[in-house]
Amino acid sequence: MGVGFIAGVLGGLLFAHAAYSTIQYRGMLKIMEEEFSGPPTNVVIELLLGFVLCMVAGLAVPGKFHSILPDSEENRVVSLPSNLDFMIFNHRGRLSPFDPELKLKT
Amino acid sequence: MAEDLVLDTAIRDWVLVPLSVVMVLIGVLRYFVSKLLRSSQTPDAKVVREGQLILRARNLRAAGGFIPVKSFRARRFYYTNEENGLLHVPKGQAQNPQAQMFSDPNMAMDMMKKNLSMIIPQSLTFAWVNFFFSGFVAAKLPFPLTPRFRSMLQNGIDLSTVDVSYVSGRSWYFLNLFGLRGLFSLILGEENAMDDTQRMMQMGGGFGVDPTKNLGAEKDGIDIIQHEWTLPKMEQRAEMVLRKLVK
Amino acid sequence: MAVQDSTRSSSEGKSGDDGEDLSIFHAENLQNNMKSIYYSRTFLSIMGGVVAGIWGFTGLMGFVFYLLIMAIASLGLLAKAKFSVGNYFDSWNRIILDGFFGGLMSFVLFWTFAYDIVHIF
Repeated sequence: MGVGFIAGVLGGLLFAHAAYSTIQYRGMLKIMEEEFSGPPTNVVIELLLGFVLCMVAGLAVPGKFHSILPDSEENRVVSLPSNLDFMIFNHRGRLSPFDPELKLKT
Repeated sequence: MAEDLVLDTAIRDWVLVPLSVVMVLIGVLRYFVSKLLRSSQTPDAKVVREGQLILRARNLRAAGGFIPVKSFRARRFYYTNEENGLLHVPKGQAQNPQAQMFSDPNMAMDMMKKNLSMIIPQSLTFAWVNFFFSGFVAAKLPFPLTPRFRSMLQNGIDLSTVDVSYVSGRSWYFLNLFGLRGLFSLILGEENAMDDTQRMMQMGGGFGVDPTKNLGAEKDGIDIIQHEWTLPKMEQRAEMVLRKLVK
Repeated sequence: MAVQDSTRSSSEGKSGDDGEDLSIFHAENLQNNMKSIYYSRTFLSIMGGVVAGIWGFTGLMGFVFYLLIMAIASLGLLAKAKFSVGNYFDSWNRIILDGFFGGLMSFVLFWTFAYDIVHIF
């Protein structure tokens, strides 16, 4: 949250500065009576940098994705260390071959 | 492309920016005011019970494949039989939502508060915008449009020679009204995501939903479901594992 | 017994195990993921609108830019999901399409806003 938020604020500030310098640039062009063809290089760099920062912010601020699979680690209702009493070390599952191809099929 | 208009920078500083900022601030203010006005009502026991019942029925429908046919039939009977099934609503007992609203003054009060907190700031803002900012060319869309949009975008300017992509102050207000929803949902949280147009539609169409209709729909859903037990394959799977073990 | 009954009937019905995978997932976590996708999209479309406005894109170019931003956002979301979409979402469309049109209005508004502030006066 912290890092992403700061990145977003920085990106916004960069945008503000880019907007300001573009306005200045437009004003200068108006005085020199030239046509506007594109923003100056430093503005472009600023915009790209700001966008990258905002990208980081936009992806980091909403928080992590949670796994939707019922058998993933974080979705366990009971985690192993909390009920050591029920740990079984010797059972027939140890003998059965581990086969990832075997899946729950309908 | 039509020749560019030369606009005074003062229009930017005193029309475009303040108008947008005020729109955002009013949105925030309205959110907090409606939050203050919202009365916390204790939910009716019957309504809660029906909601939980629908949840349970939905769970049965979603995960019915994991229990044997016999158990599933028993549960289905429990929910949907015609005598005392939980989801079965006798005819005539279905309550008219309108009547329910009038019998419960709290609900009408709540509705009125909600509408007031929506209408008052909106009409005030509109009056304010109308008073100060009508008749300006305030903005220009960066993409061309067909002339059909003229009445929408140049509300308040009666010049047919101005290019359509120029937007009058009053129309800029409307654009903001509809376009700021994304920003509000970012800064105020999801529950504000419903924008004014949706709210208006909701206001027009019916007061609340009929809970018995939900029950009936859920009952039909359970009745219609084809039960197929998914676990018989488990035996074959176990057999496969054991065969591999024996080998 | 019901167990054997249905075993027989289903083995009659379908000979091989050609059924599709069962779809079981946490609805709340899915909701949460979709919410965070929506948040990211909206934020990025607003910021993209500001960039497009300052840069001075007009006409079709701006909409192309929006497409580009959404593509980049999809990539970013994909990277955030550690490239295993199945772990976090029930379909690919969630990452690629969700919130696409919702962000368009915000994009256009902020594009217009930034463009007007910077370029037309």
